[in-house]
Amino acid sequence: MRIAVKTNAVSWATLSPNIGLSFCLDNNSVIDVDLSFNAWRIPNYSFPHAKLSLEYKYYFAAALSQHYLGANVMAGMYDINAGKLSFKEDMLSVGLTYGYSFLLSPHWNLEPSLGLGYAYVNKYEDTGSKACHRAMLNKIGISIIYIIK
Amino acid sequence: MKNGKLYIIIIGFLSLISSLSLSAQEIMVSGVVYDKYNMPIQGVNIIQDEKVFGGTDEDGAFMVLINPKLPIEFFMYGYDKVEVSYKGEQNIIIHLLKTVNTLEETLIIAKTIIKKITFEPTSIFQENNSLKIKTKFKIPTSKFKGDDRLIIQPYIVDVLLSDTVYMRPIICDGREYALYQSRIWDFNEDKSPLYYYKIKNTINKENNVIIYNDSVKISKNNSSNYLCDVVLSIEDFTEVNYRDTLVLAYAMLMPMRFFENAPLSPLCLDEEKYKPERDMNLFTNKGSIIVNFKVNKATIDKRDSFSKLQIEKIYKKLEDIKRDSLSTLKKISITGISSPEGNYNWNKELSQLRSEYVLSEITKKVSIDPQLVEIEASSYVSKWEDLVPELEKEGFKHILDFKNIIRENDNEHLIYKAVRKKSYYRSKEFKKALSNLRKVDYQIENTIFRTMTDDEVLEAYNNKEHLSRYQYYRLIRQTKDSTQRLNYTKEAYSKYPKFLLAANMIACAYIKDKDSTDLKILEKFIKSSSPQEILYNQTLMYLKSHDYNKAKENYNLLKKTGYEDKYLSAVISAYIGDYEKAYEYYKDKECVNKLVLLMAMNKDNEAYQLASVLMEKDNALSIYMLAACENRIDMIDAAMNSLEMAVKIDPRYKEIARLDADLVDIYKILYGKEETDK
Repeated sequence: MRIAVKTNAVSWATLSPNIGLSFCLDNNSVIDVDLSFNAWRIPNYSFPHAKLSLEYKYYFAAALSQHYLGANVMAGMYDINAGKLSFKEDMLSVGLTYGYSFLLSPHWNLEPSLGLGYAYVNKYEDTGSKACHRAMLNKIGISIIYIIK
Repeated sequence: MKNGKLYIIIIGFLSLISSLSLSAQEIMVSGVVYDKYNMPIQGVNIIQDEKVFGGTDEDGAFMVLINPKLPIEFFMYGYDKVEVSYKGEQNIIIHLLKTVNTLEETLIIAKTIIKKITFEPTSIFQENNSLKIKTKFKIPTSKFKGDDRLIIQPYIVDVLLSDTVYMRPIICDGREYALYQSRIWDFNEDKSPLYYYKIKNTINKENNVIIYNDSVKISKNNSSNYLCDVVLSIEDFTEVNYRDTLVLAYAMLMPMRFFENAPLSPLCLDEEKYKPERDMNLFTNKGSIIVNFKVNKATIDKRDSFSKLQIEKIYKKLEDIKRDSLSTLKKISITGISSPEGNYNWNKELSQLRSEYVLSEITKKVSIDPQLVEIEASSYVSKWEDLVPELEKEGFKHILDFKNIIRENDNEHLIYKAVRKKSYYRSKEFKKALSNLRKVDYQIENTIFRTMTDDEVLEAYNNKEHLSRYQYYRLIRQTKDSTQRLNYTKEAYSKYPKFLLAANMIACAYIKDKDSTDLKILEKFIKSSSPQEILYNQTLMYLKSHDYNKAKENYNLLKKTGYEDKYLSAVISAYIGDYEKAYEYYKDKECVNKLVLLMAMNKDNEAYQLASVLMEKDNALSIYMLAACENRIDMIDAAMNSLEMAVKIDPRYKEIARLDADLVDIYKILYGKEETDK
């Protein structure tokens, strides 16, 4: 296998289309590029954002199977307004992820993952913008992976 | 009332103490329990009143508290129970004998969680130059996960040559392992070298048994011992989780081990039919005739019929040569010889004339083409010395005197002068001797083709002349000594590789000899049109070199020529594993071979019956085979007894039993302990 395409089911739950590409470097290493995007403004529930992340994953058994640890860099813009959650900010974060890839069939994988990171955030409030740092959950995903070839 | 209750309790307590004091009458006894060979038995129960009081230790020793009034029972499974009553001795020695009754089969059902890979006990099955292994591996599901690969690699070890032959491996991939592998770039399942060894089913709780069945070819040397080991390995993507090497089987099942293959005698070729063509050689004829010529003349008396006859002899010979298509006349040479007396030159001239005369007489009668035949007339004057043997022949008395004259005079003419003076010169004997010298030698050179006589062949061989095939044949025929004859035959065969008769003679010698085989000798003559004897002998040769498939092939060729040998066919069938066919032949016979075949066909009950019939008291083999049959039909105690008996008669059977799948369990019971002690 060399290349796989994937999408995150958790993202889709927020009605955000997203797509990612995985490139296998060797028997254990994979580079991921993920893009998530949302531009719809629905009353009382809007989740507009754009997010790009780059991740290096090391699979302990073999590429795209079983346990892995990853390191990612992410850049995103958010304008969230969904119930209690309401904020508008730009963010740049680095983090570590852990995930497990289940092998479903010769071409399909299911990969839950969780990531923790540290972010540099530029908050936009009514009073103006304000920069701050914080630790955060920077990845929650249940990815469906299709191995192209 | 309170007091009354207490009283009862006290009485009850007292009575308990008194009962305890009664049992205190038990005494301590010790002793040893042996079997009939004075080997200590471990684990014998010492029973009294249906209660077990103790058992014997490793050394068969025991020490128990017993009631001396009751009999003591010593009991162990597989042995006859012994009951003794205590007579006051401190040390009791007990001998237990093995039970002859068969134990009832007990079924032990145990639920155990297996953690190791286990396999069905098996033995190496030898059949027709191949070793077969058939077993089942049980894989614990706790060991095997989806991302694992299981490898089972059995291999045969030739103990004697310490040689290893790998058998077919088995590879079983877990679901995820297989999925991952299928994704690997450039991986092509069908082209994978392991493709044929992979089993399709994976291992789960319902299906965790792998059936294994394979055979390997071995060298034709039957005498070796074999072991079958197996390497078991469970590994995932990155590392080996489990690896173990086990002895899968060491006992061999060799159904044909005791098959008695009586040596068959080879067939000789019909010599009249296959002996080499008579060939002929060139010979030259020589001879001489005595012709009485008139004194000082080169003619013969017309009344002298003797001389005429002599001349006739020559041309008769010539005529014979002309008539015989095998011979051609090459040369006629006539030498006239005159006696030494008188003038030498005259003698010379005269003898020349004489030879010419004879020649003319011959050519008058027989027409000779001088173009084709060399004709030669020559002359020779005898020396006085030549007279000596003639005189001796006539019984001449003054021979010594005559010899002196020859010695003293170095000139022929001087001798003549001296002899002429002697009185005996005119004697009859002397004249006769002289006339014997007056003769005509002839030499007819004709190339006649005729066969050599036996002596001539031997002489030619000793002179290291090149011998023809036929001459070798004559040489072989006349040699009485068998090793010498074989040497001649081998020599003939090496010079004439297509010499079928010689080849077959060598083959026959090899077949008759116990240890030697040479398959190459007859191999090149094997065709469907080959003589039956050759096909038959080659079949025997293959049989002898344990190449049974080839023997069968060869026998089929033989069968096509219309030859049938039921015994040979049965033997070959038995060796290639077609026991039913071989059994047809032995059906009505009562012999070891029938027993061997019955056992090979797993007809155990019939085999047992036959084995009991065939059993002879002093024949270790028959008892051993009976033991094997008994063990097969689960008469374990009888089998133990029989095996012991066989080993007693012939200790070699102990080693045989150790590696014989039929008796290895019995061996372990009987001698297993000895072995671990060692």
